[in-house]
Amino acid sequence: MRIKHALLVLALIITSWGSWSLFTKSAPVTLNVTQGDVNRGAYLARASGCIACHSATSAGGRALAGGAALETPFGTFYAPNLTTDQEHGIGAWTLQQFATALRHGTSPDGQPYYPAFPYSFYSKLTDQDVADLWAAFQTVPAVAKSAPEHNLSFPFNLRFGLNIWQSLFFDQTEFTAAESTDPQYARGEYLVESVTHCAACHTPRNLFGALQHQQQFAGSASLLQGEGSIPAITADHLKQTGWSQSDLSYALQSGIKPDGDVFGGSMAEVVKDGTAYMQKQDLQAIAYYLLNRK
Amino acid sequence: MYNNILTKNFTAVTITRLSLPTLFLVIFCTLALFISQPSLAHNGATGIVKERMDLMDRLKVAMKSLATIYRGGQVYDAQQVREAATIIEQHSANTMARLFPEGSVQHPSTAKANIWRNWDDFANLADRQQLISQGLFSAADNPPQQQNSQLSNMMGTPPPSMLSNSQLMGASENTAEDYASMPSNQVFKKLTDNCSSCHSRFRAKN
Ligand code: HEC
Ligand code: HEC
Ligand code: HEC
Repeated sequence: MRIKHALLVLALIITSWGSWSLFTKSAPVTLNVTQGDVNRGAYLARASGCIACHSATSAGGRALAGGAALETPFGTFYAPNLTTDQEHGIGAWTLQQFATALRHGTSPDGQPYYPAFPYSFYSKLTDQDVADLWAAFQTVPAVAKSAPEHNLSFPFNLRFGLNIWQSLFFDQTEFTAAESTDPQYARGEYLVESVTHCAACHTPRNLFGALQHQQQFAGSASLLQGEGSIPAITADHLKQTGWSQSDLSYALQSGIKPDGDVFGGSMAEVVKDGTAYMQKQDLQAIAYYLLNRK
Repeated sequence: MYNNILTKNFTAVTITRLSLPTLFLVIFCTLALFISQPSLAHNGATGIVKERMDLMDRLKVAMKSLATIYRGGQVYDAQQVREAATIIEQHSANTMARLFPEGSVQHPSTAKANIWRNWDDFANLADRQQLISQGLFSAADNPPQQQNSQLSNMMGTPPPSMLSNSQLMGASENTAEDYASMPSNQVFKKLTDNCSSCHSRFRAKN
């Protein structure tokens, strides 16, 4: 049995190693769009949490110059500097490299990224949205300082292990909206499943930190140290606990729940640094989708 | 509970994916233990814990009435804002902080023990609540003002810069006079953020 397992690991490593090298050489992303809109991009950078994760605001850090420590059971992650600094940020990157990081979760030199960077959601962003983000990132003042290195425990500190992870768990299929003639539903689906990545926290993960999609939004243990459990936001659960579309949309705008209590934990940050900046019709689309999800 | 987590995840893994090396499983299992926490029922509180839960519940009711006003769809009522602001003001600062004597985390409290390691920060948040609710009282006659475009609000100013750092970090500490001259809905937002900041640091999930 044990030998069988050992062989399996070996096979796995070899295959993924093989597919990885193949992969990284052959798969730069080419977008159909190259012109981005700065305003739309900045809106998306808020809504999708780039600014929240990549800025250590409360510690006095500058915009997008690197995030606060993310403490997880795998160790501590620091979201890197994304400013236009050539050396410490992404100032020397091309749009294509940026798109490849978001779509494939790989760096310009072909290294896989940790899923603490929620690229499995961003891989589903439209070409236009990626180009808009890129345009907005061009306007970020350079900060000449790197973010701290991650501090991860063995074996998670071995980046090549992520090749295995990606080949098993990273679904790179493009976003296809469910059959729906309802534009509010379709917009909500795109925002929830890609941009605002609600499932990153509200869907349980398996032992490898991969999302269990068959239990979408069923609630989860938080990956953040000391946070405890995160409630379910399935349509059934939301309805049972009395949320209406307008309650949910207002809570995402204000941080206040229908009973007058406020969000705490990482949800307070999701609102404060993200959804609070979103337009009403987008928040209503999110709420509509979640309450009517099929 | 641990068993439950292990078996749940384990079966999901084995069923959906090829069975992965035992070694890795063991490591991940051990780590998975750290992310689970028992949940606490919110009833049967007594003594000081009950007192502060009651205080928090009064805040909740006042916040709900304010939220109803600022959500729109209702005529703005400055008097109702002042009444709710007064209730909140009366339940802040030391009136709140004194209900957290050192080490009082007995069941079913969800207060975190780090309160007493960071007492000054905790007490500060309770004091700020008083300052902001006083500000809201004074600002009640300033009609709410919607940011006309959320897009430009987010940008602060239009391009070229996506975000200047002062916008990102928000204004620094406000005084009572600052609040008194702001649109009342913006003061209300500060109040909400203050509740959330304290909960994020010092209140565990239940
Ligand atoms: C939950 C936190 C989080 C969010 C939200 C997030 N990131 Fe990141 N990001 C990270 C982490 C952590 C890394 C480092 C990953 C690694 O080292 O493998 C990272 C890495 C990156 C990198 C690679 C940088 C480099 O130097 O190689 C890019 C580019 C990036 N993120 C862009 C974005 C964009 C664009 C968004 C929003 C659409 C975003 N991130 C949102 C956490 C986040
Ligand atoms: C970074 C992790 C994270 C992300 C991303 C996230 N949430 Fe949450 N969410 C939480 C946590 C933690 C709580 C519990 C908050 C508390 O205890 O006050 C929560 C609570 C909630 C609740 C309250 C549920 C209840 O029954 O009380 C709702 C509704 C909710 N989230 C909706 C969303 C939506 C919609 C999104 C996507 C736009 C989202 N969340 C994204 C972490 C997250
Ligand atoms: C200085 C910190 C602090 C501030 C400010 C604060 N809270 Fe709390 N709140 C707590 C703590 C700590 C608990 C957990 C108390 C316990 O379970 O012992 C709590 C619990 C609660 C509860 C749950 C009470 C229960 O019955 O279990 C509600 C509701 C609540 N707070 C609402 C609010 C609202 C609304 C505001 C803002 C107007 C606010 N709080 C401001 C620290 C704070």
